[in-house]
Formats: sequence, C-alpha cells, structure tokens
Amino acid sequence: MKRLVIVLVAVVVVAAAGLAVTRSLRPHLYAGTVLQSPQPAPEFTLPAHTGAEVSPADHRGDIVLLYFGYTHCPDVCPLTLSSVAKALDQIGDDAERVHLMMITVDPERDTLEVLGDYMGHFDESFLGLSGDPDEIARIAALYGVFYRAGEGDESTGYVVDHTATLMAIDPTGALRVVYSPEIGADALAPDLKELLG
Amino acid sequence: MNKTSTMSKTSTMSKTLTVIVAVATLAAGCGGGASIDDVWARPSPPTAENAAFYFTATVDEGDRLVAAESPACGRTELHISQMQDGLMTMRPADTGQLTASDGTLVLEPGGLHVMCMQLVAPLVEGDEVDLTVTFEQAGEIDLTVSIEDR
Repeated sequence: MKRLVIVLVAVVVVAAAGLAVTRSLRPHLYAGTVLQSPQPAPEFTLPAHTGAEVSPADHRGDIVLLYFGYTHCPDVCPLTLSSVAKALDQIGDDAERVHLMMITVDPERDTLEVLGDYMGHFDESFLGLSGDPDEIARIAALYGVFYRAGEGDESTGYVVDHTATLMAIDPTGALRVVYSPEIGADALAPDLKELLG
Repeated sequence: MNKTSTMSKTSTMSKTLTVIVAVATLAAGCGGGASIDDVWARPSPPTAENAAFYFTATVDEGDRLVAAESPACGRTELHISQMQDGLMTMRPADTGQLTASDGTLVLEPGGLHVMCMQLVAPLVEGDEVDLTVTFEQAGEIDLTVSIEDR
C-alpha cells in the first residue's frame, strides 16, 4: 500500500514537471498579427507634447507602440489607449521599456498642448506627436496608415476615419506585431512581456 | 355552502385575472416595457470635447432608440464605430442599427454609442451624470451614467 502511494505521488510529480516543461517550450501565441517577415520600422522624427523631437529609434532595446489617432475620437481611441495603459499596469517594472507614441491624424485641432492633456490622462508615459500635416501624411503612408477627415469644421465638429491598428516595434527596431484597436489589456500584456524577452 | 364558496373564489379569481389583463393591456397601450443596465462612460481627458456613453437595453422586439439627451453634453448624437475598408469610421447610426430586433440593444466601445459632444465639464471617475434616452415604443427613460475607468 505504502509503495503504491509512493508510485502514485511519483507519477503525479513527473506528470506535473512534464506539463511545466511542455508549457515553457511552447512558442508564445501572440494576440496580435505577427508579421512573418519583419522589416525595420520606417524612421521618422516628430515633435512630441513634451517639447522633445522624438523618433522610434530613441528606444532601441525597448518596445515602441505606434498608434495613429486623434483627440476628438471619443470611442475607439480611448478604448485602445486605455487598454495599453492597463496592460502596462499589468507588466510592472517592464512598463518602463514600453513607449507608446500616438501620431495625430488631426493636426489642425490637435496641438501639442491638447495632445499632452489627452495622452497624460491615459498614462503619463504616453507621447502625443504632431507636426506638419504633409509630414504626418508621409509617415502614415510609410506605415500603410490611411486617414481622411469628414465634413464639417471646428465649430460643427468633424470625425476623421483612420486606420486604427496598434503597431508594435520590437527591441531590434522591426515592425513586429499589429493589433486590432479592440485588443484588451489581458491579451496585450503577455505579448509585451514576450517581445521584451 | 361549499358551492357558494367555490363560486365566490371563482369570481374573485376572475376579477383578479381581469385586473391583470387590464393592467397588461394598459401597459401595452402606453408602450413596451424596457430595462436598461450597465450605463457607463469612461472618464474624459481634461481637454476632450467629446465622450461616449454606453448601456444595454432590453426592450420590446423591434423597439428603436431614437434620441438621447444629457445635461453633461452640449449636443448628443447616436453614433456607431465600425470598420469599413480597413478604416475605423464613426457615423450617425441608421434606423436598422438602432432597432432592437431581438429585444436587446447593446451600446459598447467600438460599436454603438451615445456621442456626447461639447462636453460641459470633464467626466470624472466615480461621478455620475444624467442621461435621458427615448425609445420609439418605450418612450423616455431617465438614466444615471456611472463614470468608470474600465
């Protein structure tokens, strides 16, 4: 009887260890779409709300999350930015190695000051980038991002249709993973951990 | 004696039934029933001019959301965010999108929402704001929006 118990305990221990090893060997399943042939992320430099000129290259060794949005967007942009902020909360100290940059697709209304208030509301580390409309259009095209302003003016208000994907530039500077704007924090956090290695 | 008692019971039941039917008829005549839950909005950034309100409405099948008003907003519209040709778009929702064909209408991030424009003041976590929604059949319904960071 005693021998049987020992054998059973041994079986359970071996099975648990095997399961743990299998799990650790299993490749990470990304919640976003992984680019199969990652290319270097197109370079750019734009003014951020902090007053600094910023570029993804400033953060080699870390992750840059790049998003094109605008502050008059009340539904989808807050959804995505809020998810990123919560994902950063989940990964603890590693959050210092994740840098979110939102380039405005509405440079007419989104001054750096407006962007600063908006981004800081979600997370103090988030950067709002604006600049010359032609330069923003050029950068957007490099990333395959498209946008168009709807009818209306500042008094009536208007919306801007835009590619709303969240793009992850990995520590090597390659554009690696693309996320739906509705990615949740719980799905994003493990990916960030994995990308940081 | 027993017979009288039975008749009396039957009569009482019949009256009760009549009252129930009458109340039900009256309710139907006044418009359908509605229950609205999970009424919330995100806290808004200090300079934001727009916000979105969300809720889940259980109404009569085919009832339609026709309007929303809130003292927190200079103007409100019923909008829908949706992906079109790879672009995230936001437009006034059309009649079909605002109709609860199966009796449920869900307003949620990335979809239908009450677009609150010209915010009177920033929406602060923990606060509440009033919202009145109007359904075609259920009529006006007063709601309280919880400001929550979800």
